[in-house]
Amino acid sequence: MTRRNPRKVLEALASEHGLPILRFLQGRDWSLASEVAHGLGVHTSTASKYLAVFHSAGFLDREAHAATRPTHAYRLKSPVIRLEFDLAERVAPSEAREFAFRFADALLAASLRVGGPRLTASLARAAWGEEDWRASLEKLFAAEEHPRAAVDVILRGARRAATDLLGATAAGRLVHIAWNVAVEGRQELVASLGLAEVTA
Amino acid sequence: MIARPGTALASNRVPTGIGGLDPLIQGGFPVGSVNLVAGPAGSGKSLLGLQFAYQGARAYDEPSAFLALEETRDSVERVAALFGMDLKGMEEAGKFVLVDLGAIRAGSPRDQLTVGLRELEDFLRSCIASTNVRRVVIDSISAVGLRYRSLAELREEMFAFTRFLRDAKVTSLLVTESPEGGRLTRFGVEQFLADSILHLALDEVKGELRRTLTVRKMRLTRHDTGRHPVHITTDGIVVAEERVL
Repeated sequence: MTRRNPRKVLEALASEHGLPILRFLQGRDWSLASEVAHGLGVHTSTASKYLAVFHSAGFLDREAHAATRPTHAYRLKSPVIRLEFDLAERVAPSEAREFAFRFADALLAASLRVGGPRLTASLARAAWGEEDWRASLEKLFAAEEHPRAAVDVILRGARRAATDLLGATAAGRLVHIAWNVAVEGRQELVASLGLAEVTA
Repeated sequence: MIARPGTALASNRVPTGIGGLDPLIQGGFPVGSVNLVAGPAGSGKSLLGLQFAYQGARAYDEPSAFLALEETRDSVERVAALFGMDLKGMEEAGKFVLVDLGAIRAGSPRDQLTVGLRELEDFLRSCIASTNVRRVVIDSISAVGLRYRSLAELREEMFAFTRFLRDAKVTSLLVTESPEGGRLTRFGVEQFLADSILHLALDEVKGELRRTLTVRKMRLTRHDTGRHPVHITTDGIVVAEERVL
């Protein structure tokens, strides 16, 4: 599976050595780059480069191999190669972050109108782990590799916490208010992130 | 027997904490009962509801929730402050929940701009679970009734809602508006589903408006049946002992 630098993986697969290297590994146990190179008649550095790309793409397992120089052995994870590209990666993390902060800000402002500071503090804590919601959101973005995943966690956390505190119907209305505020003027970003309002 | 503030409650009564009212109703509302306070605009019913909730939290250690459907939090807080009620302090202490459910209407579809009874039940179920409230005031139930297309539907929904309140073992006070023309309640069904009815009236006497309170019904209670003057003092509503003849 690949998420980042899809071009690099696609180029490797499309080149004359890509699929032969993967086919060479099929049905074998651990193989060194030198063994692959010898079997296919290519230079060891070429085999080594391809193996590293396929490993980063998630096609191969890798383990350190005891040798005079630090080297690795590889084997196929599965005889079936799957490619998945997260198109949301086109979205800059800063844009996703801004969207999430805008949503959280609107949600907590609405909860302040409904239930005052106590409800707002409880909601922030229940949704994202801390009353200092900005710090919580920053941590979520730092912990998640992909901005879309962080936004998703933030939206779902908000919905769950609001439901616990206010019941499903009132929570739905509150989240809807915040969603509308966050989405306004950002429809393209929402589409790029593949986001939808969390309704349950 | 009337429980004094700060003392343990009698096992089956919930003191209202409203001056002069508890002696008329054997010390308070029956525990877990659904009570209606009806009256025209300006008769003091919202203040009575607010006092019931606030005194429960302050004087009787019963966490209370006040659900405003027509007023904002700010408006309720300002009224409370006029009568020396420290709502913020009680909220911070975790004894009082003030919720403006009307504020979530902006998130509603056009045909659901009013809050319905199922929504109230849904909210209260979560609220009771997370805050352990023992007293609930809804101001007002008249606003909720607008959601329904027929009286039969309203009655059915209200029956289910009052049953929920009793099952939840909270003592509730539902505020309802008495429309002009002598009708007790706006929809004419509310009084049949409540365990008690407090009727606040505004009468013009010699060019002056005078407030009165009558306990119209209260199940499981030998209640006073007279009409009593109501005074709004700096401490809030006080029901006078004498009767209006």
